[in-house]
Amino acid sequence: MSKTIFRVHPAIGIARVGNSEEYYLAPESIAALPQPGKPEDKTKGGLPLDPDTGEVIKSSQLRDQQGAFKRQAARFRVFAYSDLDKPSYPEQASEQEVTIGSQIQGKTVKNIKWCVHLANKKSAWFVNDDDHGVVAYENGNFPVLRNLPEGLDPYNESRLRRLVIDAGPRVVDQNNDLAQFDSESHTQAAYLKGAETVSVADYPFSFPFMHFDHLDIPKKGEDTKLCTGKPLQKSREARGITSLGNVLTDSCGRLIVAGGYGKAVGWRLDSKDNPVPIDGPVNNDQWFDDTSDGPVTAVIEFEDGSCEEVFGGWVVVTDPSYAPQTLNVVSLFDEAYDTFVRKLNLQPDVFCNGRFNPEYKPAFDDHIKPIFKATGQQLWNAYLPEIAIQAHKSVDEITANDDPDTTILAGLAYIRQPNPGTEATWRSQSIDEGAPLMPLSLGDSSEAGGKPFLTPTVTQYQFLHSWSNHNYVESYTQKLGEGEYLDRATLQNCLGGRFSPGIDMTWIIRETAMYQDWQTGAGPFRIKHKPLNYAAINNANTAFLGLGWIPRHEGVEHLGLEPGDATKFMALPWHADYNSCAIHQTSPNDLNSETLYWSWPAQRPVTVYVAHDYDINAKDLPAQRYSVRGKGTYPLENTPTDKHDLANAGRFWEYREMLTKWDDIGVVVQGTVIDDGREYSEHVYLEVESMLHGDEPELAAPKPWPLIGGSGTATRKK
Amino acid sequence: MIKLVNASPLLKAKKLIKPKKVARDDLWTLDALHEHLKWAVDVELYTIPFYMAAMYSIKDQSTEAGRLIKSIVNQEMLHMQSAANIANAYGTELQICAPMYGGEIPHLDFDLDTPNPKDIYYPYSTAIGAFDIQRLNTMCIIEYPDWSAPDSTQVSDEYGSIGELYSAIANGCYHLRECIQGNHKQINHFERFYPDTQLTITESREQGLPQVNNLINLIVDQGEGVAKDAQYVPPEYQNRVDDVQPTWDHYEKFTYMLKQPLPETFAIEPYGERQKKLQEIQLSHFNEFLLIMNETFTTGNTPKDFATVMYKNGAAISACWQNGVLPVFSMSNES
Repeated sequence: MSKTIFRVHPAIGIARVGNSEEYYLAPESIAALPQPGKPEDKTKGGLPLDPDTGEVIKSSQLRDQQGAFKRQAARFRVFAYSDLDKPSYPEQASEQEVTIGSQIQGKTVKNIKWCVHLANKKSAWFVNDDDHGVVAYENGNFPVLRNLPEGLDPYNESRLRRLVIDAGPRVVDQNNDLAQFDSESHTQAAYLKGAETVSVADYPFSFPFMHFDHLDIPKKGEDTKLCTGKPLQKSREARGITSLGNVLTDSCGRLIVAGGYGKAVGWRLDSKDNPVPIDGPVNNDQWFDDTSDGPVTAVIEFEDGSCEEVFGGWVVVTDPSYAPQTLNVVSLFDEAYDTFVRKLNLQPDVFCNGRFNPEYKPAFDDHIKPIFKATGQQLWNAYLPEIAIQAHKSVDEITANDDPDTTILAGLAYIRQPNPGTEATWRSQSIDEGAPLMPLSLGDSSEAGGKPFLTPTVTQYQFLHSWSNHNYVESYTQKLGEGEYLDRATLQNCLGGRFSPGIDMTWIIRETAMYQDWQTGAGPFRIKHKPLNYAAINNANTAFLGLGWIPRHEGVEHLGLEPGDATKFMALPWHADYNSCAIHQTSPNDLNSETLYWSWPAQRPVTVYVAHDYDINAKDLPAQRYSVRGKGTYPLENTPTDKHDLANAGRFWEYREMLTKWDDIGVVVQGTVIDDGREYSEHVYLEVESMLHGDEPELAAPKPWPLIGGSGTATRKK
Repeated sequence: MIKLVNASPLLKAKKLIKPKKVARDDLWTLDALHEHLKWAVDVELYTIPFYMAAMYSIKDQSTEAGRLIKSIVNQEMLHMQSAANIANAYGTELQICAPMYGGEIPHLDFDLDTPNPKDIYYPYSTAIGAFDIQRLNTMCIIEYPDWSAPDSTQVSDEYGSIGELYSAIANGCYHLRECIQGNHKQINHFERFYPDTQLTITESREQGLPQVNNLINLIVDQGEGVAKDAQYVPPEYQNRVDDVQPTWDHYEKFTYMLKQPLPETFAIEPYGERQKKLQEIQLSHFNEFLLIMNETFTTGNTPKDFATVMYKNGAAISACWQNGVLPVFSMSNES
């Protein structure tokens, strides 16, 4: 492996929906940790970037001039790796970003061609089983199919044609630097054959309005009470989702992918049918949303006429990030890293032959500090009691120089062990024990059924165990390269652990079969692309994409992913799950406890400190408010029988309201980037730019944990 | 014996001083009540390190035994708060010192009970140790119910059980109800766990008496129960948040555990430098724990670092066990 190889980074890029045409770039630093190369900067990582300057954005840049919520675009770059000896992580080979005009082994880069294909397969896919996750796919099984009235055969071509949103592939480069994934631009469909751009004029693009006559298109300001009875609107002319976003390249030849607009659209069975119900968090039939995902490929053209293939990446377009600087205790990176370490031989000095190397010394700054920092960040999105805030602060303050035995985490007495076990009974599972074990967030699926509580990954726990026993180093001498850091930062800013189904990606991140073999030169965390035969397309009316990747199905799971295969496991529409997943009882709940815990506190703020409420001269923080608040969030308002159950607080009583108000939710950012004319402390993270208004006369102020549900309605979300 | 450089005098173990039985109702004095309330605070503190040490010796904290004893430890902390709140409402001068472990069960004279719980729960030991039969028997004796509920004016000048003594305290509190000061140095760290009851004394004089009695009832009902045939915890005293058996009192929990297989515990390992260091750290944290307890319950204000001190104390005990060394909770009185 002495030749130069090329890779796209981040291996998985995360774009996020917004209802503005404008966008900012996805963060390229890790939430709450120092920005790379800026150790003294008071502004910590995790913030999106201004596409014009490349600097982190200010709070006023979260929305456009009309107040619309900007989209988060994923930026992809190509890196060259020379002098490779053998596969390693971190990469030992020398690294260089490839841009237009750069010199790579004596050759000048003339152009970088990119191909992206976005699709959304959620409606055609199967329901998500919160408690069983991937287990539901084992032994040739499937969960129940979504939208059964559209056909019982998931492979049926006409069913796929109607239920898959597919805009087709697009190619961009410095000569053709913008392409739309919308229904008007299907003639732009093209793919790369080597360095050649091949048009697909007859690409069978597909959007809901092409197949359903009576669309139900939620509109801002609609009266949701009307949505429960008489027909809402006649929508034969309305089109709803007409785009999955756009792609462009910048002057350096980097790719920018901006996704959808946060739309959801339902279809009614006929013109007299009621508005489409939306009464669950995850699996709602007769609905589409405009999230998407797909492969990102690139070819480098040199001045001398030669070209080079590149190990491609993957783009995932998902929910907005309402707290971009709050680090998850268990992130998507932690999940992927754990999978690669324990199952894909990523670092044999860490884990080999089925066991961890007890002599291995994890680096405090890479593996331990992020967990402690994330702990200290939780107060900004959740209503913690003072005792927990103090304790979390003590965790955050632990340094590499402290004797672990003297700290609040001595003996890891308060860390929940990741023992999945074989029986889901409370007698033998620390995953079913709440406080004082941390993290005090809800868990997800497991082989034993649902995990009531979140645990660190096995690798995270092993590293904590090593630290606890004084077996660690402060820092590694071998750091991640720039591209590898992008891989990590992108995933570390996303939710891990709580995959029911999650926000950014779900438990598929733990599936080894989803990835390319990293030792072939691809490097880790790179999703395997299913080869797509665009050349065979000869009919604009026949679905091109199939059912696609199926985990745990032998013969299919190793073939790679098609566009739409990463997000199809997620909630439909995503808005419903975002609305619902604030606080819940555990699942399973063998003790019938009414105690409520957080679902995704770092990713889905439940309660926040509002910048407007904050007295910059005061020592104390203001009272918290619910992140999702205002009209429609009080249980009593819409349901006379409800008794202000805390399980229902901080969310819209009607799921449908979130479909038109998600863009009104505020964003939690560090005080240093709030540019409202006041000077904020660097130590506070406050909500800005919320447009959720309305009197809250009947809503009790948030109270800190422990929260008890009860009043008979706590099971609104199962 | 571990020695600390900057140890507070509070770390010198204090033997529990049993209050002299008040023979007649008309003999209650404020001093006598203060003595009783100091004893109550001391006895509640006594259980915390003893139970916590046993709890953290269990390898898997999520076992049934681990969860049950955790629920008891949490309630013993509530009991200490409750006893201190009553004591402060009556103007008691509290000083919270390290308990003395290893001798006789110091609470009361159990020989006065019929049957004598020390004959039922044998062998027992009050030395700090792992969660084993000896410790479990001791816990059963400590939480032994006041079956006969004897009148405090009976012939013996000793109290026979915690229940009997709390009954006497209730009597004394009633006779001295005019001395109650509402909102005097009251602490409330558990209100979210027990939202349906009042955990502080906010009213003065006669009006404060129901609040005093409520706290006494809470301690007794959660602890050893009222009587053998009426062991249940009333709903308002049940921990609905995370108790695996919220309706069971401590005695019922301990006697249940006595019938179950013992959980696996950490073994004591050869004593080396690491073990010595861990004991020093742990004792140092317990020193801070005592200091903060005194600050909290003598001022009614919770210091900022309360949570950190509390959690470090537990973590250090856990770290001791994981490395095969007993936690320690006092320094020699000679040092």
